[in-house]
Amino acid sequence: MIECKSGRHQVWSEFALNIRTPLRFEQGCRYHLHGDNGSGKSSFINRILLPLLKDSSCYILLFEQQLALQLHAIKAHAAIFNPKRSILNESDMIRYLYDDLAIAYLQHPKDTYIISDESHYPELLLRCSTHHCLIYTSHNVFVDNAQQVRFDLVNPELSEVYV
Amino acid sequence: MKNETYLIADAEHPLVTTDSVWDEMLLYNIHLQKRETVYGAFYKITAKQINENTLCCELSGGQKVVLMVCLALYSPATRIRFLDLEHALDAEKLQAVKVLIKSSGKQACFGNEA
Repeated sequence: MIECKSGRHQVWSEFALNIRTPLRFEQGCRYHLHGDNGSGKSSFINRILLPLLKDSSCYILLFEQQLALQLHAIKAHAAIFNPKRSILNESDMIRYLYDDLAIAYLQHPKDTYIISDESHYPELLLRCSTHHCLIYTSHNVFVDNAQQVRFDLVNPELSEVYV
Repeated sequence: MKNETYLIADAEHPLVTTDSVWDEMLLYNIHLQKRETVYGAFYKITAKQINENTLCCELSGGQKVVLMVCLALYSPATRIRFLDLEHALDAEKLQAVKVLIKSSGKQACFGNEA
């Protein structure tokens, strides 16, 4: 379990997130970060959540906002470490990363956080094991039983974050 | 669609540069006199002030897509094909962007539609 403290977090020089109550992200649960464009969902992931996760011993599988750019990096990784594996598109990449995670998890089980920032590939969310923690942002994809974490833009410099 | 040239505005790749908005405007060949119009259209939808010195990396994902739409509409391109707008924008901004596109008078189409 990972916990983000409540209070005001100055994520950028001109933008802050006010987390009303501590946010707990637990294994086996799904969390939908929901809010309008510019309300700080990606900033929360990049400036608060990921630094916390990087300080803990866990697996992080991050699908970035522009998946097409990430594809090039993963293709390069596969070319060196898994040259027989063909990665032609985003769907191949998603399968590749999930397979890689599954192997690592079987060898050394640890808390696992799968984070998706605005992806519109359904398989990305559906492939997530029920043992892991899924945290995702989307305007139009809703996963069953996902807890809603709301981001409400109060003004251009502040968003309120609450469950 | 055959033999017709479109400017592709793909929300999966909204901006080319991570540097200033000015660089992005050069890539779209935006006329100097239209700069303020681009900023105004962007502000009307996002309520965020930008100028040529604004760094693209400071914009949220949705704001990048709105900027892409504004740049495409005020570029010299006459035909524009917009891809994946609905995945990147919340309902309110998607509607505002569609109104802007419609009022631009440009020949616009969405996704793979002919």
